[in-house]
Amino acid sequence: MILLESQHWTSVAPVLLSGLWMTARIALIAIVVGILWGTLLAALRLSRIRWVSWLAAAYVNLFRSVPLVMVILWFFLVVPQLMHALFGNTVEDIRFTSALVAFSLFEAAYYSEIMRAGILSIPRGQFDAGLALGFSRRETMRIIILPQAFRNMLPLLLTQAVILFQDTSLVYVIGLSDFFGSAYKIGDRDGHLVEMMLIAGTVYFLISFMASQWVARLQKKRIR
Amino acid sequence: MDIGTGKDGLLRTMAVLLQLDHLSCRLGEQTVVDHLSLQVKEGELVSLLGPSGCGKTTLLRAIAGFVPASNGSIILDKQIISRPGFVLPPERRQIGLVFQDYALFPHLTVSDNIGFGLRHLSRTERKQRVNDMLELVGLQDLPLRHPHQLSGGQQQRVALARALAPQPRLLLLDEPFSNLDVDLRERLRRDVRDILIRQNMTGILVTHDQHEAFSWGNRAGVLHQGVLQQWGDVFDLYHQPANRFVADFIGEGVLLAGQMVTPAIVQTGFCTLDGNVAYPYAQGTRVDVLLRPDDVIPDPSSPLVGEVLLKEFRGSEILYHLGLPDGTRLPALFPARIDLAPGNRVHFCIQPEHLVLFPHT
Repeated sequence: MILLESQHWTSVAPVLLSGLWMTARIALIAIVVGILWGTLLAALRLSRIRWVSWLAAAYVNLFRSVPLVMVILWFFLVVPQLMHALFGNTVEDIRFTSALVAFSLFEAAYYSEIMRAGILSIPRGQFDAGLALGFSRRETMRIIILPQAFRNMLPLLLTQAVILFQDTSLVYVIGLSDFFGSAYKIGDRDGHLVEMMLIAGTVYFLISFMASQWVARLQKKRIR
Repeated sequence: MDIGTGKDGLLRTMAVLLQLDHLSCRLGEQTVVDHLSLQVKEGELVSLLGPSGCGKTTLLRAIAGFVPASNGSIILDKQIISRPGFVLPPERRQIGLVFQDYALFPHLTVSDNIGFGLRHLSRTERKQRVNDMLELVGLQDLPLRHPHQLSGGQQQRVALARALAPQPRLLLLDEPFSNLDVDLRERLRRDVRDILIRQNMTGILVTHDQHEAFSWGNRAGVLHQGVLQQWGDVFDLYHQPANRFVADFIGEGVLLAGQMVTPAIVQTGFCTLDGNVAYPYAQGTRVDVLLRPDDVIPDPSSPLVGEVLLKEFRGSEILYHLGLPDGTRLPALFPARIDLAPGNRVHFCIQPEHLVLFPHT
């Protein structure tokens, strides 16, 4: 078994690790940007100004109605043209940037729905109390409502983060070497595709499963 | 401006703080508050009383600035704060709010809750004010607790302190005691009243509980279907209700059919009642007479007699339902020492404070 030979591993491990690093970077940045943008979208969607809430709703429904793979591919094709039009210079490798943009914008639609449910779960009295104490609607939203909504929705936000972590494997369509992509390439090159896929799957499973367990424990602690 | 006697017994001028002038509010298509006018003076404690759905909470929310006026105006301290097409935002009204469900901020400590509306103060001033408020409501030992670690009564004390801390011009209380046990409710109501009087705070209490309204302040309003049925002294609400709704909603009692003998005297099925003043009803007009259970007084020398049909022990008093020969069922509130059993006969007389008549329907 070539897979068990240590010499082989010393050459393969750095590639896999850099792939894992790529996966982690995309996932973490997309989670942070997605939650921030999603929260803003949720707030906009609850705006009293009708066209603002309509636009936010349209955004969310659009991104929730198209496959993620398509969005990734689409941004890979559109972002360079856009950058070219904006800055006039051609950007060399935009795969990473376009993947980040695609994931952030796509996941924001899902985070937005979670945060919207979170905001709506806060009793109206909290909002009124904030206003009566001299805070504007926006301040009340930021200081009183959102922190509570975020706390209440933390388990759901984290669950969505685990899904996002798994979804990052889809960047293979634009040839980006994330963990899955690296494992695939090595397996393909050395003729051990099945074994490499098993190893990659195991790693994805372990990380996702442990994260889910942690979320479940967090949730149980919250209920108690 | 008029001259009144303050709660401390001193004569002082009491300016009108809040004035509602033909105020109407609509929620959707429905008119929830209908051409309502009233005045509240500075330092006064008043209540708005009515069954659920009568529009009292909407009225409170309109005063606070959450509900716009569709007609008329709300004037606070000579400044128009609501009229059709204009609503001074709630955050600029300086009106404090206390809610039925307390609405404390669960992610903040007691101190932080109370200090929340004090951002315009410096750090030391804020700390001082929070401490003053903690002391005022008697929670100086619990500044670092979170709301979920407090009892309902304590939470409402925090809510009161939070509302009073920014020194609002007016305090609105929306059924603030309804979520509490009965004895705690009464104690807290007295404490809150006491605190507001000490702060010379004007307070409007919304409640469906007449006892709460009666013990809150001198004046109260009764609301029904968005219309202010009566606004005045709580004594008058009980003894001189302006219409059938108020008579029915406040207190117990019975309406007896009768006929005017003279403009002052009414003949009912079993007795003749003298109102001592002339009523605007001509001789022979059919009217309904309101009799309260406490208008019926045991009197061995009276020719009126009734049979005890029902007995309800109420501590210091007993409520009886007396069956009269003509079939009338008359509620009567007697001191508990007059202990009768169902089936007993009792002589009584009728001595109303003030005869209340309505046109017969």
